[in-house]
This record gives sequence, C-alpha cells and structure tokens, in this order.
Amino acid sequence: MYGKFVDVRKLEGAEPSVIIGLPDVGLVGVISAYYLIRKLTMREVAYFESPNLPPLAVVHDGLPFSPIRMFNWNNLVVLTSEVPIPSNLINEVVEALFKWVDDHRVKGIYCITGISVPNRLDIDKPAVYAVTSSEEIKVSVSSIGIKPLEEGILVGVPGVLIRESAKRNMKSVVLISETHEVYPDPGAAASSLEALSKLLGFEIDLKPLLEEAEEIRIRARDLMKRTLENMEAINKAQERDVPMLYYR
Amino acid sequence: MERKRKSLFDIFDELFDQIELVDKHLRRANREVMWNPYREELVPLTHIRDEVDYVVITADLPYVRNLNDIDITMTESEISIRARMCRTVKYEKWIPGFKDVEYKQWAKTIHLPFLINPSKATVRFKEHILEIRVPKKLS
Repeated sequence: MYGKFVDVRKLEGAEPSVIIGLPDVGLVGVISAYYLIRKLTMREVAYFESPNLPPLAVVHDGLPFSPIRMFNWNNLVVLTSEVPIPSNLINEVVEALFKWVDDHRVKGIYCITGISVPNRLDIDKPAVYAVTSSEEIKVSVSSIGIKPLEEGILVGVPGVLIRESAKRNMKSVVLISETHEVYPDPGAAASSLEALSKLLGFEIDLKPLLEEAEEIRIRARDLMKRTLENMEAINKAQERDVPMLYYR
Repeated sequence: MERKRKSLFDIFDELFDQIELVDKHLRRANREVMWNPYREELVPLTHIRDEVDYVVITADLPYVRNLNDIDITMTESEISIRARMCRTVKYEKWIPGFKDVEYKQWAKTIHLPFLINPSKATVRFKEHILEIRVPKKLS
C-alpha cells in the first residue's frame, strides 16, 4: 500500500506554489514553514496518510492530527511535518506529493533546507544557495541574486524531490541555507524566507521571526534531537561529500 | 632515550577503545531526556567536534545573557555546564503534573570520547551558543 495526501478543504487560490519545510539540518525548513503558517494564518488543506507512517498522532488542543500536513493561504501551500520523515517514507511522501501536485495544477515547488557550516557562529547572515530542476530556472533564480550550489549531494526529501522534478519537467527549486549543524537556526530560516519571498514575489516581515528566535530554539529542541537521530539513519552526512564526477 | 614503538595490536586496541567510547557516548545521548522537572532544569542541545588536536564542545543556551551566568566545570573526561536563564520557561499545555514547572536553568554533563587538558581550555559565548575549545590530552 502506498501513501497519499487527503484533502480536507478546498484550496483558496488557483495554480498554487508548494513550499516544503521538513525536519532537516538546523530545522531551517520547519522553522520557515511554522513562521509562514502562523504569520499568514494558513489553514490545513490536506494531510498525509499511509500505513507506513510512524505509529503516532500529533495532538493539538485535544484533537489528533497526522504529523505530515499541508496548509494554505491564497495561492501558497506549505507542506510540513512535526516529526522527522523516516528513510523508508521519503520516496513515498515525494510520490504522493507529485500525485497531489498533478491533481491541483501546482505552478512550482520550493523546498527549504539547510547545509551545515562549521563556522556558522561567525556568520551574521547565512547565505542561501539554490538547486533547480532545469537550466532555465537556474538562470532565472541566479538573476535575482540567489547563487546556484555548483556541486554537492542532496540527501533526503530535497534530493528525491529535485531529481524527480527534473524527470517530470516540474518547476522546482531547493533553497539551501548555511546553518548550524545540530541547533535549530531561526536566522537561517530568515535568510531562506527572504530568498523565497524574492522568488515568489511576496513580502513578509521577518523581524518577528528573529525576535522570537530564542523561544523557537527552546521549543524546537526535542524535534532537533529526533531529527539528528533520523539524519544519522538517512546518512545525511553525505551532503558534505564532494561528488567525484563533474560531467553533465 | 629510545621511544618504544607501538605494536599493530596496541594500535588496534586503542582504536577499538576509542570506537567503544564514542558508541557509549552516542547511546547515552539517545536515551537522554531534554528536561528535568524535579530540578527545574532544561538539558541543552550540545555538540562535540573533533579537530585532531583539539575538541570543540558547543551548547545551545537560549535565554542566557552572558558568560557570567554560566558555570563550567571540567575534568579530563567530562564537562559540566550549568547556566541561568534570564526568564523562566513553562510548558503550559503539556502533560499534567509537569505543566506547572518553571524551568530556570540549563544543566548538562557531557562525557567526552577523548581525554582533554582542561587547564588550556578557551571559552566564548556568542548568539546564545557556548563554545569551549580544549586541547586533547596526548597519551
């Protein structure tokens, strides 16, 4: 049996853009997703269902929810998870996402993630790099000042997503921010959201995110710890490897 | 004086001891809970980075304002950190019995996979992250 996204509400806008923020290095994606959901008062539109999900329910205000859900405001959809995605579920989530994307005429997919840098403590504003699903998108992303990640390895959902997007001719961008290796990093999330707002042409006030940084870091500790365990399982450290082949 | 060369067996023994220590350290980290309601303490996220001759230990300490609020004690194999927060933290919607607890400080003892030389440690505190850089004790 395979997983699927189950709609719970009709989407607000037409031809939406999907923003993915999942538990990963520095929790950059999750913090970005959490901030967008709260700041834009997004509403749940779909949840992920699969017999292969970890045996748990997330409880909010006394009600159970799937840990992997989609939220919507206008023509933006945010996909996030409150638990790390186990390695055996990564391909399944991406496959289910593409099915949902086809059914809802999605315009583009934007995945926010991080790459750990050992000197993060000395970096005031983390840089953001992009991996795109095509040369054409790479040129347009570069033209607004987001540098491409020239060489590297993407592990987990971002890697599978961008590979599949290229194969399916889907417009996708993975935004990779410099981040702390093992600590939740709201500063890196702010850099990613700034890049995302440039890409999608919307304005977002990031000051409250930076003001709340300490509170977010405290609340995100448990998820960060679980995510680190999961990163070991999916061999996330491979992202620091240099690929041997430079051929295109 | 002529130095005695290590045999291949000694080298492998040392290597396996190191692996065992790192494994023990990781297993302990996995079992660890992130809060201690009985002592009103939160357990910080920490990280150990091996830089060949040095070990760099960091700890994430939100709501700690400066180095004066942090007590660090070191032995050759352990580092204990205790840091006072500038405000208390409460998990109001959490499990009954724990939700009224007000957490006031961070506390953690880190068991190191290497022996260190504590007298030569340097410390800095930036963006609420404590960084302790300490040379390894050479055998």
